[in-house]
Amino acid sequence: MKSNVLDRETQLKALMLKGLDGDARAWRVLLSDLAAHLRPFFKRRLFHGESDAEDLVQETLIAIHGKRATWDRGQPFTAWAFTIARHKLIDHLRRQGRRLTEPLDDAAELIADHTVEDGAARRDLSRVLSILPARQRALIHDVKVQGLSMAEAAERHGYSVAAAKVSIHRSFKTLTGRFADETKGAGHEDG
Amino acid sequence: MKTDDLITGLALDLAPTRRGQLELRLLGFMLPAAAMVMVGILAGMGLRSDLAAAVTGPTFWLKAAYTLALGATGFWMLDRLGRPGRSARGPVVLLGLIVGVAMVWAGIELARAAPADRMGLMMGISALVCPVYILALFALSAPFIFFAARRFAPVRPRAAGAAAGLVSAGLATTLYGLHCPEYAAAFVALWYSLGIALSVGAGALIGKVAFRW
Repeated sequence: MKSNVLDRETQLKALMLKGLDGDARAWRVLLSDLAAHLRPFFKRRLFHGESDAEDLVQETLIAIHGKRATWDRGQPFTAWAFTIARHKLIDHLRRQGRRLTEPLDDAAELIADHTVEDGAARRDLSRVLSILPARQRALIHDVKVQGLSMAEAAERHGYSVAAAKVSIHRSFKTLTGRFADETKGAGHEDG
Repeated sequence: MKTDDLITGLALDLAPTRRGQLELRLLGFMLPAAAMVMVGILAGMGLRSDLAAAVTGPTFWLKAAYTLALGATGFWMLDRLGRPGRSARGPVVLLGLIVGVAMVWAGIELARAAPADRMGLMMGISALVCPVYILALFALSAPFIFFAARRFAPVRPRAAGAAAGLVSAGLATTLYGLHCPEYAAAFVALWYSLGIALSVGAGALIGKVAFRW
């Protein structure tokens, strides 16, 4: 597994070096290969998958093309390329006005490899959830934080599965309404 | 548009890239930036009257060394922040060291001076106008620097803007030494640093807008 990743890095780096020298064929191969890797990267992170993901793939390819001189030859290529992809993703989410459709999981995944302290995130999370009524809060906590299945959690709190789904949906709506304005002002330095 | 067509189109438009071309471009744009700052100094402030004597002494060059070092550190920082995935830790540490040395130097100077002289060393004759002048000259150099730096790809536009502000201010303040007759390390550490810090703050705001890509 590890060696696969290294192989890929070596391979892409070789293509990148050729591309920087103006080799159009190598550049085509590189961009196509990147597109294939970027597609699942974006789909996994977007709720309204397909079309948005393809737009982001294209935007990222254009940025990689236009900004290719910012890759330092001594630097890992994939790190550079996926930093650009992440930048484009964050930009996209911000432009969207942060429709927090499936927010907690994805947001955590996005910033997971950065510097957010687990404890701090947890504290924020409980602060955020504290605005919900107790029963809704317990339910959303079990499903989204503990990772119980909808059926298990519904039974535990005396909901039918359908009612539990509705309750979670309502909770998200409340949270979005309450925090969307606050997050709009949040800046780039967390990206 | 289909992604495959896009890729074909991009590959057709592929000029070779030279190593160091972004840095060269930035250096190149420092020439017109310096020229603008010189025009600003000559038109608005005038050269210091004792310039010919000053360039033979050490303080003129020590001031220039401080501001040039800050500008060069900003250049390194911008070069790091402008490249996705690279860390700016090195230049940030260096910046702290340079400012630290200036502050310690100023502290020693003040400690060795007679208590009655200390206020004079710190305030000089131009304490309050100095940061304003620096900010004005920064405004003349910044457009060139920020324009040149738009080729970079900063994922933290405000931080990169601060770095570009440091480059612009370092350049502007070095030339400001041709006007400013102040000689005390305490004055420079305080008021030059303040003017540059204000420029860096302004740069961060500009970067937020100028470094979108």
